[in-house]
Amino acid sequence: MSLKHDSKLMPPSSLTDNSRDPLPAPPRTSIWLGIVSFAAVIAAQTYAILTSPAEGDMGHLQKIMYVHVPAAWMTFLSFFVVLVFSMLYLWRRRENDDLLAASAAEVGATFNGLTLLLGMIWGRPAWGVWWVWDARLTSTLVLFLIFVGYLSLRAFVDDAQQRARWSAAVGAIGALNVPIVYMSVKWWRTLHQPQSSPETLDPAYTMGLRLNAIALLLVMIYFIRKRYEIARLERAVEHAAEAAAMGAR
Amino acid sequence: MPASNLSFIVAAYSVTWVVLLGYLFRLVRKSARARAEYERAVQKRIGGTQL
Amino acid sequence: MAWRDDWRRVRAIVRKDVTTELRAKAGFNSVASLGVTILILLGLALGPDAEALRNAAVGAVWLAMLFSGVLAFNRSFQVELEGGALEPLLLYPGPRWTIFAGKLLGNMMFLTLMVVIVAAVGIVLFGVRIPDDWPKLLGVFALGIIGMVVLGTFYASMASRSRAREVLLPLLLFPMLVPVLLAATTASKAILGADLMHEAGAWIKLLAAYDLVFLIATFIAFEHVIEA
Repeated sequence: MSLKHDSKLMPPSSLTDNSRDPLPAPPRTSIWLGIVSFAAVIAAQTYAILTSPAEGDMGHLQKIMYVHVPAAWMTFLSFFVVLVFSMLYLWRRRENDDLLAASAAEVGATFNGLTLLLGMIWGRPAWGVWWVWDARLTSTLVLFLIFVGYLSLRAFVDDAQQRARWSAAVGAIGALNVPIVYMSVKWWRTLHQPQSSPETLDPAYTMGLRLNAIALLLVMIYFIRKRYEIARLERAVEHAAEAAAMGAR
Repeated sequence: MPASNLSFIVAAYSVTWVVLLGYLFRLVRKSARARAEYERAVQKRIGGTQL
Repeated sequence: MAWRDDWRRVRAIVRKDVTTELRAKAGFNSVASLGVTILILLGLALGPDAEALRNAAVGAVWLAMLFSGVLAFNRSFQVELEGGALEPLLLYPGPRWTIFAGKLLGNMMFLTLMVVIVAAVGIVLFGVRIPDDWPKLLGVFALGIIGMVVLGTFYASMASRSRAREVLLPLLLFPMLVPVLLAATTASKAILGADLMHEAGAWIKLLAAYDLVFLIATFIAFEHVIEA
């Protein structure tokens, strides 16, 4: 990840005592990444809608898959990022790792919420009800609660170091539970009845799905970088305030 | 039946764009505010006594 | 022998917590009473049809344990927090995991005692018919309580020191305990209902694996979490 050093924001070195500088200037997220990623989503969705054939009695309903499935994949991917950077933070105690984990958690929670909404919108015409306690919807809901718990913890802890350490521990342990939750809900549902939705995907749909997944991945990367930039900026302001408070004594 | 499914397909894609654009705008606004605060903090440091 | 010293520290913590608990008799009694109260409310909300109650029994007992258990977990750290005793405890020489182990054992005893009471009341109120292989049920309950206590103690070590401990502990803990809830209730229901499909065994294995995974993970993570 390239950190563009914005020289306009750094004061001339002759005027500052570098040993008490706030964190180095937070990275700027490329606006092009944002434009390209959103354009890619539009393109991928257009392609998928126009090229996927109608299927059986559900008609074009499976087109929802092109937004629902990638959203679910991005949810899990974000969780993985939270796990990796939580463990990295616990290992080398670098604040930026904690900030990146937190950014990935917020973005992940957003994709998680979207996955749930789309799952319900797909489910209503497919199963006749707004909610079924099926394996995927239910475990996605539980995961959402784990994300919410992580974010709430951060909101309720004021000390920055403690917040970082605790979030990292909670994030890592929460991520550890993801496969277990998924597995147990799946067992819970399928021991007495088969899966409600088919697992196999007709090759006619895979290209569209892959394109949408890649496009949404770009959006996710952009979101995480943007959120990370905000986190770094806010933290730098906090550091400056702390340094000023210490200097004033 | 496929005809009524159309409203759900439209709903799905609308919800997707509302969420994506909504979160995008939230991030853009937050980053503008954060960057303004940051620049203000840096200006204060330059203006402060650092001799 | 370093491990003997560690074990002595663990026992010291357990002894301290048990003594404090016995002196402040209100503690266990009120939490256990709350568990029973929740059970009664569930019975009222889900009944009065006997068949419905019998089907709901397992879920009701576990939910009552969950909701009252969070109070026990927060209390296990609150004792130190109120007396300002956490810092001195951390200053004592010795590895931190002994603190966690001590709290774990204390909570295990607390909740084991509680589940005996709550389950007994549940059997009576919900009209549960005890099957022949009821010892298996004990195993399910033991593994389930272990899972609850391991994660409950871990999250309480943080939540009890945060700004919103009453809501934060359940918020963090309950989603994590979903596998325990599913496994314990499904296995219990299977055992109570003659387990025609032999599914209890698979769920028991899941519970055991879950307990092991999180026992190790929380012990490792506790080091990072307990520093002031």
